[in-house]
Amino acid sequence: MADTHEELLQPSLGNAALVARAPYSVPTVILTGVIGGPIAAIAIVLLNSQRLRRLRRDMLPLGAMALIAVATVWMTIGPGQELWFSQGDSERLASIVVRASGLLLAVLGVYLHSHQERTAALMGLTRPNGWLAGIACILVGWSVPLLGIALLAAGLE
Amino acid sequence: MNAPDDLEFLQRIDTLLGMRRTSAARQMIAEALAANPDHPELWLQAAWADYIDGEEAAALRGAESVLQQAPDNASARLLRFEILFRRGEAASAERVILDLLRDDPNNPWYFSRYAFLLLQNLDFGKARAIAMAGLELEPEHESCMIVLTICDFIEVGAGVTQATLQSLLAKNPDSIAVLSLVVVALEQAGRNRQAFRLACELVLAQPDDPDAVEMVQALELKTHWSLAPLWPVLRYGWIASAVIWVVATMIFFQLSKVSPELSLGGAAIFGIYVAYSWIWPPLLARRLRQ
Amino acid sequence: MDEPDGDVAAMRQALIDRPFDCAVRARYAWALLERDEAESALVQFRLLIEQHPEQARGHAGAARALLCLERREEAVASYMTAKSKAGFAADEALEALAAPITVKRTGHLRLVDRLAEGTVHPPADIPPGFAGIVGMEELKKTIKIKIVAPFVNPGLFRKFRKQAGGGILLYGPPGCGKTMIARAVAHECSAGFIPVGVADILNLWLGESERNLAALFERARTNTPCVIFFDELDALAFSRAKATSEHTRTIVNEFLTQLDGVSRDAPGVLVLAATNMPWDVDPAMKRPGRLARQMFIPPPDAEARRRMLELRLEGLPCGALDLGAIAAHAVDFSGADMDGLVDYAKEQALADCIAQGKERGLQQHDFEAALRILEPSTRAWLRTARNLVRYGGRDPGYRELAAYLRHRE
Repeated sequence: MADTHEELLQPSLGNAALVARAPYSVPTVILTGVIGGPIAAIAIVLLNSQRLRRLRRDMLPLGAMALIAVATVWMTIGPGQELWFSQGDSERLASIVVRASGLLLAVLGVYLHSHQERTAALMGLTRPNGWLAGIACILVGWSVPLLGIALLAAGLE
Repeated sequence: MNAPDDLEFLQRIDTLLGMRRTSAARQMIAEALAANPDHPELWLQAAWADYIDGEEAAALRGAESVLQQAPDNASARLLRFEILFRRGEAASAERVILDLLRDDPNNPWYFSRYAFLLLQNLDFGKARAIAMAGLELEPEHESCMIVLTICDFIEVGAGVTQATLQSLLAKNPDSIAVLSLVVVALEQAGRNRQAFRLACELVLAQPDDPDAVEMVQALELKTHWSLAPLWPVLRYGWIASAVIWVVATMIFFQLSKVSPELSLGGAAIFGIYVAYSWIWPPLLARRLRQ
Repeated sequence: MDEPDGDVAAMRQALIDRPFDCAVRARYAWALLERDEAESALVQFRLLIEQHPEQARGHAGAARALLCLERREEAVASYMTAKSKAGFAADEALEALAAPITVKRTGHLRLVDRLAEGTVHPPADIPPGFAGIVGMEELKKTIKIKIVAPFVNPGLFRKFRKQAGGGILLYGPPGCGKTMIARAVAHECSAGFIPVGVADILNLWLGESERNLAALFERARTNTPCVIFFDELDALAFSRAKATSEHTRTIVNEFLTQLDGVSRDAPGVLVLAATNMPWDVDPAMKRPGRLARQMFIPPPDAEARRRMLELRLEGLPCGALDLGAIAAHAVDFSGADMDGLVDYAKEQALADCIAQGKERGLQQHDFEAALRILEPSTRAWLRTARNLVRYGGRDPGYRELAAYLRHRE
């Protein structure tokens, strides 16, 4: 038996840096995405990937999500705004699109980690406090697009 | 204690510990230790009693002292593993259980404990493989089957797990662990009322188990009449929550173009609904826990 | 009381100056012990335990004092507690003192031997019936109607086509007199009494356990009318769903068979059982013809608590005490807790006597202090019972418990 399962009986929890920890809860991820927009959503999903020690495996989906985030920023507050929204409803509609995009990315992130999420729920693992991380991601979500636009504007001038 | 008495005496303590009658077990251990102060098995039983009573530090001290005298004692090593597991010291716990597995590779119980440790650390892929290895040794081993069912929940959801659960129930109709798993399955499938009824049976069987009480309280909350308006969220979870938000935002946005007043009124009602969904459930939960 | 020598007097003075200094109290306690004042030393060690329950020295000292008082089992228990506490240092003298205590011979033959010797208590050996149980009038009335009357007048019950047979399971928090009630029932029924305690139950697990159990029931059959009483039934009939050992399952199966046999062909045998944990008893035990009737034995009521205080304080030096008020405040206290309450009050008074250097009787404030400190041991049980009733309320066996909890709330 020992021979047939030798590879299974190799330690895999020895290195603390490689051992997964419980992810931030679903409400934390969703609320961060809705309030902070797409960049905040990506930030919190990124944090979860890091906690679950699967950053490398998540690179591709995270890259795709980043493209959606950049597109959203471009069409809502960036140079694409004039192309997509008429003057009358631009601000409100843009805000809705930002939130919807944040929500979509958060949902995608939750789906990406759904197995780990279910394991944590079934095993009753203690979740990390999501307040600090959530607020930090929201601040990042708000400031990064503005910073990007400011840099872009400075570049154009 | 002379040799023939030894086994009987230890067996009696074992049975008491198996029934969580730690005070009676402790009394017997104390009496025996007074006459046999160096008896490692008695010290080990005392350590198990400490562990059952939640006194982990004392239990670990007991296990360590036994291991100093008898480093190969499997029961002391298993106790050490259980304490480390409970404390969340995954790396040390893994070392101990792997050592046990190497010494006794035909023990499915060790496989199931290792699988639970892996699940606790979110490695469900390896947990499944380990449970399968345990089942190769004993095809109907309850604990290994429970791990496998949990892995099914994780990977394929409650719907696909029905067959596994049914076979588990058929083989262990009286098992409380299996009953707990069925409650979880029903809850995952959104059948909260059935889950609540079953959880009540669970509490009837072990009203002193905080996990069972917590489970039934959570289900009582979900099935409470005053949370009926939150049915979609309680049934489908965060997906329903997200859909409600998107649909409401789109409706109010479109409505604001036609009738801003109506949109404002609708938004206010939606706001009240949202506030109710955030404020009332925790208040109700607190009331139900009292 | 002898006048203490210089050192002890100085220590006592130091203790009065610094009552919370553990080192001073420990030194004083050990000095008292050396002067053979074990009772006083025990009081000091217990105060030390209260101040620092996590430290070993109070427990170890109490163990030594208890050994001096020849309360060996308590001493060993205290010493064992000390071993699991911080700062424990093995005390050779104490180990040596503890060593002569030998394991009680509890081989499986003991029960069979006892049965063979015919040690079924005749009615005259049984302490007085319900007259000996203080308070609890409602409960006694219910027991007379539900247990004693059907056993004494089976014909009357048959005429009314009322089922008279079957056993009764008494359940309730620990220390509330279930065993005493069982004895009283036997007395009221004018029947012999075979008590099967937890030690006997442990013996039943070993050797030819099925034969032991059969012998026990056979003895009851040949000694009718007879009450056979299983204390801590949960240890014998542990729920098979929770049992980890196959042996437990075998024993439960045999027990069920025996119970069925008694209810079928031995009307003169009344089976009584008691448990603190009815939820751990195998559900099959509670089916009709076995222990179908379950009776809740609550903690003593206020009147019973007052009478207990009266009995426990008989012959003790007491000041003006309002026992009614003390009893009223001791809500949920079991009989054992009432003992603890009186003990604590005594310790308070003794400590005061030693500190003040003059004797005084038990005062109301000693009890008030005890009531502030002591938590009734039944509370945890009642909390668990609340879960049981709230979520498993449909079980008819817990109807009385539900009514009691409703009334209490």
